[in-house]
Amino acid sequence: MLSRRLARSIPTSTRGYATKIQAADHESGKISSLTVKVNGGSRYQDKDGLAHLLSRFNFQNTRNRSALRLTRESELLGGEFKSTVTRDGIYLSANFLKESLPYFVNAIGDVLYKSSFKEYEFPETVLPAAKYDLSLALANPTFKANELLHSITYRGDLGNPLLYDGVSKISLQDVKEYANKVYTRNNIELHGKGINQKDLEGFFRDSTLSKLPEGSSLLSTKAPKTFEGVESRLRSVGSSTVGIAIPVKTADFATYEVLSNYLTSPLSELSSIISEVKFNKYNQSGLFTLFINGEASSISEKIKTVVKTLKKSTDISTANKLTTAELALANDTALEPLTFDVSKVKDFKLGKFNYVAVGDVNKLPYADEL
Amino acid sequence: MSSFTSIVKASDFILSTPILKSVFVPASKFFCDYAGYRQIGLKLDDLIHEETPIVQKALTRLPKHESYARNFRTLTAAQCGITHHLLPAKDQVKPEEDKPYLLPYLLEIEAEAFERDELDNIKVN
Repeated sequence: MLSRRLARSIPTSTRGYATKIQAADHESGKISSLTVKVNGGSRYQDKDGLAHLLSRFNFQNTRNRSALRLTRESELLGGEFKSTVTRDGIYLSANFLKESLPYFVNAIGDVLYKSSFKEYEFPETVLPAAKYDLSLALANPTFKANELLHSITYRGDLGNPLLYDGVSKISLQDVKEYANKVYTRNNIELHGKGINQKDLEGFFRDSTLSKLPEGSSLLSTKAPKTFEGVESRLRSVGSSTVGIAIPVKTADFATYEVLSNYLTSPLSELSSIISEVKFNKYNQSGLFTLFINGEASSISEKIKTVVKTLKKSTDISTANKLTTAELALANDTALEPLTFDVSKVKDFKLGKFNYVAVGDVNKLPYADEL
Repeated sequence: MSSFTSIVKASDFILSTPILKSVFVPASKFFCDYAGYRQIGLKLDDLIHEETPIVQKALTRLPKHESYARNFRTLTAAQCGITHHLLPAKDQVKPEEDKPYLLPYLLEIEAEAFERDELDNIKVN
C-alpha cells in the first residue's frame, strides 16, 4: 500500500504560464487544499524579518475585498486561510470544500496581486500579530536554540532570523518592495490536494494569479556556505536547552533522515533522553538538529552521554524500514514528495558539529567538554 | 446622528445640482466666515466632535505631521479663548487652507464599520 502511494506520480505542469502547478486528485474526499509556495522565506530577505512581516500581511485588505469580508466569506463557504513563513518560503494555504475551488483560487490571487498595503494596517494589525508570533516563539527555549544554531551554521542565508524582532527597522515601503520582488509568476508554485489538475490550471488562467508579473525565480541553486565546530551560548530566563547541529549536504539527506528516525524511536537507547530531533530539509542544504531540554544540572550529563554515544560508530540501518514507512506517510501530505534511497544507509559516526547552550549557561558544559 | 458618509453624499448631491449649488455654496462660505473658527486658527475638521470611537480611530491613523498641526491649532484656539483675543489677520486660517484633512479617514473607517455591521447581520439561505 505504502509503496504504491510512493510510486504514484504527480503530474506537473509549467507549460505556458511560468508557474509550476501541481495537483493530486482523490476521488472520494470532499475536502481540497491549495497551497501557494512563494520562494521568499527568510533566507531571501534583504532585511531581517521582512519575510515574516510580508507573510503576516497576507489575507489583509485587498483592492477587491476587505480582510473582514474575506474571512467571513471563506467561513461561510466552510474554508480557512493560513499564511506561514519558513526559511525557504512563504506559504499561503487554504482548506475548503471541493466545489468552492474557484473562489479560493481567486482569493489567493487577489492577495498576491492586489493587496492594498494600507498605511494603517501595518501598525494596527500586522506589527502586533508579528510581535505575538515572536513572543510565543521566544517562550520556547528550543526555538531560541534552533535560531542560534542556524545563525552560527550558515551566517546569513539560512541563518537569517525567521521572525521579525524589530532589530532592523522595516517600513511599509520595504514590505511593498519585497512583495513586488517575490510575488511573481516565476517565483510561485501551486500545490493542490484533492483538486483536479485541469480545473486548477483553468482557474489559474482566469484568476489574477496569471496576471502577476513574470519576474524571475529566486530559488537558490547553489549550496550555502556552512560552518562547523562553532559554539554559542545565550543566557535566558526559563528552562535550559542544549542543542547540537550538523549541516548536511543534499547527497547525505538519506543518512540523516534515517538517523533522526533512529534517535526518536525505541531502537536507540538515547531516545528517552533526547527531547527533540529534527532534520530540517531546505533547498540545497539541510540541518540536522538535536535538543535536550530541562534543568541545567541534569541536561549537561545527558548531552555528554549523547555526544559520547554518537561519536562511536553506530549501525543505524535498523531504522531503514521505519524511515521508508515514515517517508511514505509524510509524502501523503507533503507539498513536494521526498524521494531518497535509504537502503544504502549503514553506519553513522558523529564528526564535527555546532553546539549551543541556552538558559542557565554557567551550569551547562562547553563544546570542548563534551 | 447622521453619519459622515451621508453628509458627504448630500453635499455631493448639492454640488452636482447647479441650482442647489448656486444657493448653498455662497451660503456655506458666508456661514464659515461668520462662524469665526478660522479667526482663532482652527480648520473645519477640528470642530468635529471627537469623543466617538470612529473619530478616535481616525485620529490614530492621521500622519504624524497632521496630528502635530492639529494639536497646535487646538492649543492656539484655547489660548485665544482664554485671552479673549482673535489671531492677527496673517495668522488666521485662510479659506483655501481649510481643507478636510480628517474626513477621508473618517469615511474609510465608517465604511469598515458599515461593512462589519452588514456582515454581522448577513442572512444566508
